[in-house]
Amino acid sequence: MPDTRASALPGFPRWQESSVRLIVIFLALVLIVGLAWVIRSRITNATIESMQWVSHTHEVKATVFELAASLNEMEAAAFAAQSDPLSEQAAHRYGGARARYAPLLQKLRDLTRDNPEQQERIGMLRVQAEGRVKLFDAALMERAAGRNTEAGQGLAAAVTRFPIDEVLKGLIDDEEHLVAARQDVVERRAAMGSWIIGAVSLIQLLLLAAIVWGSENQLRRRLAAEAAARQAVERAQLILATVREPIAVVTRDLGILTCNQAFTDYYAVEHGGTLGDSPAWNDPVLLQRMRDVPLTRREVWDYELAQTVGSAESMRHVVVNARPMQLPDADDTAILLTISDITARKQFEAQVLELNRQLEGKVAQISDSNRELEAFSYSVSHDLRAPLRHITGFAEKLQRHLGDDADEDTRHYSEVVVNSSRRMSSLIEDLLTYSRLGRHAMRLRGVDMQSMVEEVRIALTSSAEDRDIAWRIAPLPVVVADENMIRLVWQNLLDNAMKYTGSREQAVIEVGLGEPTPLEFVFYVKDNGVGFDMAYADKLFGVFQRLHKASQFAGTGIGLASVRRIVSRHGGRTWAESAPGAGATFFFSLPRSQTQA
Amino acid sequence: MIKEIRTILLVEDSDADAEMTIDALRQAKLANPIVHVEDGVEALDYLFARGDYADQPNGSPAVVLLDIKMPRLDGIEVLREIRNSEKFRHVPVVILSSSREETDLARSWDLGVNAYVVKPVNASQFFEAVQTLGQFWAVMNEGRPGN
Repeated sequence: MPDTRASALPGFPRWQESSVRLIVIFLALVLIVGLAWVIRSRITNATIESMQWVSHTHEVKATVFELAASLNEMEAAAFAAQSDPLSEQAAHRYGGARARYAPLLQKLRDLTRDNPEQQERIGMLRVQAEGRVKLFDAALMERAAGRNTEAGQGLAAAVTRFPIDEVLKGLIDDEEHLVAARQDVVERRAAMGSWIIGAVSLIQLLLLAAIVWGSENQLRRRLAAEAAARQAVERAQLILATVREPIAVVTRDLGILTCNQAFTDYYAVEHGGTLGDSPAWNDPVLLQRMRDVPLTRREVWDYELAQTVGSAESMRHVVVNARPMQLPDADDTAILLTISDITARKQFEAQVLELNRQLEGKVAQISDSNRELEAFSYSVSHDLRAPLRHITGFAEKLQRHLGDDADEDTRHYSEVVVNSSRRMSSLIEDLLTYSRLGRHAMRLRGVDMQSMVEEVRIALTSSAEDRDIAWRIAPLPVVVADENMIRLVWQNLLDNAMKYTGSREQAVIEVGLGEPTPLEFVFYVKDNGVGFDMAYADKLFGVFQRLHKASQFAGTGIGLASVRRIVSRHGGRTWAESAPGAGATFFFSLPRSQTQA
Repeated sequence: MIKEIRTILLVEDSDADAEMTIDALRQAKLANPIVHVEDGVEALDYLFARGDYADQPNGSPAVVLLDIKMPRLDGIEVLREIRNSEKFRHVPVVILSSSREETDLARSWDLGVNAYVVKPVNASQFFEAVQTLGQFWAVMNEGRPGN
């Protein structure tokens, strides 16, 4: 299953993510440790340098002191020699001091080569020292010559003319300043160094904490994921165990690798066994197809069969599905077997089939009796016509036979006989027409309602030229219908409208189309005639149902029944709206597509 | 050559209808003799000189007026026999029936009827129709020679 979880680093697959993290952590470590090392070594170097400078200053100072000592020694020895010219010791001390000062001066010069001020002072010191030496030497030579006074004067002059204390003090002071400044630098650097080292340590600590926190987090996440995975596995196992459908994973030899409780209950086999242990698995075709599943990777789809299952050995109808399944822990392809018990469905199907069979029988019975009824009504109406013809025929013959001999009553009686049989014959004719409407096959084709209404209107008005009728005919569509039947509908509706507006001076008959719907067309014929009471509206469309006396309005009461029969054979509806005296509106609908007939 | 006066064969089971038909034909003042038989079997017996008519062979009628609904053998079967026979297949046959059923019409025309007239229920219209028929088929129409 592909890992659908979003990667924490966008743009990186998961396997790269961890190595990127490792590299980042390593770089941070290198940076922190390396930086600390660099900074510390730099601070140490600076400190060492500063300390070297301090010791250098101390060396300078020591040299200055040594120089000062040699000069003072020279001065003291000169005076001693002057007071005791015979003292070998004094002369020796003088000579030693005189020989020492020049190299010390040179050493001092070398030491302070970087300090021009000191170099200047050293220059001055040399001049003074050399001046003193010259005067000392001259004074000592005077003393040797016995001129003691001159010698004393010469020595005093040397000390006063060539003072050295100021210069020496300047040298010492300068070095004192330098050593103080350098000491300061050393201290500041040391302080800064400890600050930086503290900061670096803090950063190292923080980084360490971050790494620990990160790995702790990682560990927690991994543990959570493992727990979730374990839960998912447990859930899946629970589902497998709980599900009522028998499920098993079998090898290509139909050995049961694993199966759920339902499977065990159903077939009394457990994992470790084979399907063959159960007598239910004995369909050779199914077994072969199942063995083929791992080889051909062709699934067994909804294989229906009846199996004898369980200890009760009941016959169950099942649907078997077998799919190849690649196990994660095995190279072999296994077969996932799922079984659905459709016994209940089969029983339902059988019931439905049985009911259908009964229904078909009943339908056949009904259509048989319908046919019989139709045949009966046809033959009755048919057979009734002949005697009627005879009644009228022979009544007329009787009238002719009696001729002028007939009295008023006789003529009246025979007229009633003739009229009644005529009415009966028109009733029978209409009934036959009505019966034919229900039986004849429909011939569907496009019918232009507009021109048909016009045609019917002209035919009807031609025999009623004395009537004043205002026709309002809206544009009408073309429908798919049986032309002759639909003509009959319009004939009946328009004829009715004309008939029931007979008492109006100005009849208004409106033909129109109702609000169009996607499913049907609704046509209507509206008149301003006598109307009817809506309480009897449901009687209107019945056979031989009339709301008016025959003496008021002629008719047999079959027209609207025919309309309803035709419209409903086309899949439409018929209805009417009216109030007594307020005219009537008759509606009929036709489906837009005529596929049913 | 003097035109042979052929009979009009009326096949009709209803006495009243037969009487009215004969009445109408008489009133049309036709010279043709009218032979009335009461069902299909009798009609075929008459034409093919069988049964009661075995000893009196008859020529072809000018027209056969044939009812459909009759006992024993109906009009459609009679029509089929007539059309199947060598001798009478050109005889004009007019169905005179109360039925306007499509099946009756279709079967009659498929078997080669010459005309199909629905008996009007109204007596005077019936008279008129029969007289017109008689005049057309017995007087105006020329049959096939040699029959």
